[in-house]
Formats: sequence, C-alpha cells, structure tokens
Amino acid sequence: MNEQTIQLLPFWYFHLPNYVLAALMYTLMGRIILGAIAPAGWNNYIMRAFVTVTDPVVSVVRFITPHAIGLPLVLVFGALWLMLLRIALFLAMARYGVAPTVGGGG
Amino acid sequence: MPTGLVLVLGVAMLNGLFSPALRIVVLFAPVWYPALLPQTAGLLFFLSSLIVATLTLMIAGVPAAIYERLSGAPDSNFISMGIWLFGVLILTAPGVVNMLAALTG
Repeated sequence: MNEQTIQLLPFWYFHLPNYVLAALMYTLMGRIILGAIAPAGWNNYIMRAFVTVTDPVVSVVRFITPHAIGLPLVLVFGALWLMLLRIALFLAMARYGVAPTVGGGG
Repeated sequence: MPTGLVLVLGVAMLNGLFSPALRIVVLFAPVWYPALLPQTAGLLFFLSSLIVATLTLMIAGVPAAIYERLSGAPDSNFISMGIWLFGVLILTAPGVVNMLAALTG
C-alpha cells in the first residue's frame, strides 16, 4: 500500500462520490464532443457506452430543464450540474470540517 | 426564437456580466479553467461570465421545468416562460447595483 492510497482511504466518503460524479461528468463531456463530430446515427461501441452510462443523468437533467432547451444544451447543462454537485460536496464536507486537505511539503 | 426565450437569455447574459457571483467563479478558476487554453485575463473573464449566465439559466429553469412536467405541457408555454423569466430576474437582482454603477460611471 503506497502513500497515495493511505492518504485516500481516510477520506473515502468524499473521494468515492467525487470520483463517481467526475467519471459521469467526463463521460458526458465525451458524449457531447463525440456527438458533435460524429455522423448522425453513428453506432460506434464507444458512443453507445457513453450514451448508456450518461442516460440516467440526462434523464434527470431533462426533467429539471424547460422544454425550450434542446438536447445538445441539456447535455452541457448536465455536465455543469455535475460540476456544481462536486463543488457542493466539497463545500459541505469543508463546512463540517471533514474535507480532505492538501498535504504539506516534505 | 420565441420572445420569452430571448428575454430569458438576455437577462441571464446581463447577470453574467454584473453578478457578484462572477468573483466567486473567477476565484474557482483553478478548478474549472482548462490548462489547454491560453492563460489570459480576457478569456478568463469571458468564460467566467459565460458560466454565470449559464448557471443563471439552469437554476432559474428548474421551477419552470417542474411546472411544465406537473402541468403535462408538451412544450414551453407563456406561463413556464414567465416563471423562468421571474427566476432569472430574482437571480439578477443582486447585480443591479453593479449595473447602476456601470451606467452612472
């Protein structure tokens, strides 16, 4: 077990949800970029994986976004909502003094 | 583009320019600013303004979207746009002081 693993373990309650949110956020960004450059109806396995993983997030964001906003912008909103959630998670942890801190120099 | 959406976007853009939250977004730049982009103040403030305007649209849109789902409306209508515009105006209110200061010099 190296030093980095030891530093992560005590704050697993922050790192685990933060990692999941980050993975969803970057997968959604990948979906946005691939959707912008790929041809319509492209059935590539990577695109299918991105769509499958991010569809639950997109459904939730679609629910809280007015109909006037089209799907491409809903995807952008989804990435921003996930970033907001990550920041809110960190601020909530910091508020109660349980957030991970940056280690001091050696 | 419907008039309501233009109004909502216009007010959100104003908020992006004059909101006190702009300072907070600029402070958080080390978190969100991509390292690939040039590290210039102009681009930083442009993107920060864009983020504040987009967040204004997103947050103010939640009550309008919930109204649309509960009412079963197939598309945005006058009432949902009114709720959205009201939300954007509420979020833009703290920036009015900055707007007046900019107008009066």
